[in-house]
Amino acid sequence: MSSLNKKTSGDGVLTIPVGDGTVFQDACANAAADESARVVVIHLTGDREAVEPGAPALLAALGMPVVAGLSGRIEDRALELALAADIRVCEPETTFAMMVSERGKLPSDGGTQRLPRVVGPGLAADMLLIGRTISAEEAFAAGLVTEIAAPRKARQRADEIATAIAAHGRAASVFTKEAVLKGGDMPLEHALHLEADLAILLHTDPERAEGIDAFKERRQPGFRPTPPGKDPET
Amino acid sequence: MTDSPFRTVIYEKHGPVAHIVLNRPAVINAFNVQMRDDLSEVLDAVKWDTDVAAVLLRGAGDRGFCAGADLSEFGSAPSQAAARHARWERDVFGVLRNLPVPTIAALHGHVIGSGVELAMLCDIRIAADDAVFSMPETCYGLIAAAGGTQTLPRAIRKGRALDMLLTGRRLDATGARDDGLIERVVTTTELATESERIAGELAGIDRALAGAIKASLAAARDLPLVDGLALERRLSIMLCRNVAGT
Repeated sequence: MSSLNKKTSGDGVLTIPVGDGTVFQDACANAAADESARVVVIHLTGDREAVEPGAPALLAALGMPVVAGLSGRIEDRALELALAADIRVCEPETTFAMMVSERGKLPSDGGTQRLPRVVGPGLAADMLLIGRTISAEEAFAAGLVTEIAAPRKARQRADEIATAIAAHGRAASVFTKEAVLKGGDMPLEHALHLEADLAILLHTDPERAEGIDAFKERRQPGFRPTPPGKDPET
Repeated sequence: MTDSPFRTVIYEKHGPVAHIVLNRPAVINAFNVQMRDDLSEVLDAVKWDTDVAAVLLRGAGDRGFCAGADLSEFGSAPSQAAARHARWERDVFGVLRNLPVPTIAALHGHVIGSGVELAMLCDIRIAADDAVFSMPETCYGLIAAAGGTQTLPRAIRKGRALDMLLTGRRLDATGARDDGLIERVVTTTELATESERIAGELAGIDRALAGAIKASLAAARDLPLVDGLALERRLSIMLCRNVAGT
């Protein structure tokens, strides 16, 4: 497992290039195996990147937080890929649409499932059935994006947000993401047990101890990426 | 009047409204083990007190409702098994969430971490315009553990919940209301009177009806639609019989 490790830029932020299918697939596999990767970033520019079938599922399977910087027209499978990220940032001119159904097809990379879970059923139906294009403002109001960056700054903002997340506890971020995504499919009572169990499992994490020490000493926590080749499970 | 038997919480009954005040203002009401134990006793009393028809939860002092968990006590559990046992032995968050009467949180100033989580376990949230909300747990290598990873995405859009929980992003009162994290915003001077007015209104709702509405809302969240509709119908018939029988 450790031999597959691909170094991140050193700050724990791993950028996965969107485009060629095998490159994307390999990058996702590397990210999953890279213990120094704390957060993944993708950039979608909407200029008809070839997002391959299955790409959203690969991205969604990653345990660490995924940030997406979005510009241009984010349509169909590109939107499905963006929906597989956790945090989305766009630009004032970014637009979003799901046109596949207009062409008589059903989205097959999560569009009918993740879109309503992210924006709510009404807007999702509007987009899926009518192929309505929504603006950045509408996307923000609906919770599809959490921030509208300045013009041409989505990439930069996504990188900044990722860098901020990379400074947080790695296991804490992974467990938080898992609690939100897995717990969302459970009755609340069960979901609260999942959260509590993850919180207690986190007691074994050295970064948690460092975070608490840092808080008591009124300083910033100094989390470090796990040294390459060191597998905490062995 | 504030001769409270509790060290970290003030509990007073004003007519049918139970006032619960987090009372460690020197540390912005940081949630510690003592506060958990005090709240646990208070909430158990509220749960069985048929004179109480509504609960108003707020924080003492000018600086905020609650600055989060008191990390100075963290890391003291002897083992994970012991920590897990303690978590469910006194499930103060579960008791608050499952109270049979309507609950309202009045929020001001710092509403951080566990402060947000306590508020989310109430039915309605009203905030002063000076309130600031954030979930900074992961910044300190921690995870929200008073229900925040579950209550936030059920109250606001999933992307916004992930954003708050993973980045520690701060929201002001208006932003929190726009997102759906809280229901109402008032000025700091209006917070006390307005929250008491609403609590009084909530206390005026028939106890059985309030309980049925809360149970139905929980079903709307957890059950398939067909089962939720069946529960709603059963509860409404039960309520009609109660009215006819009195």
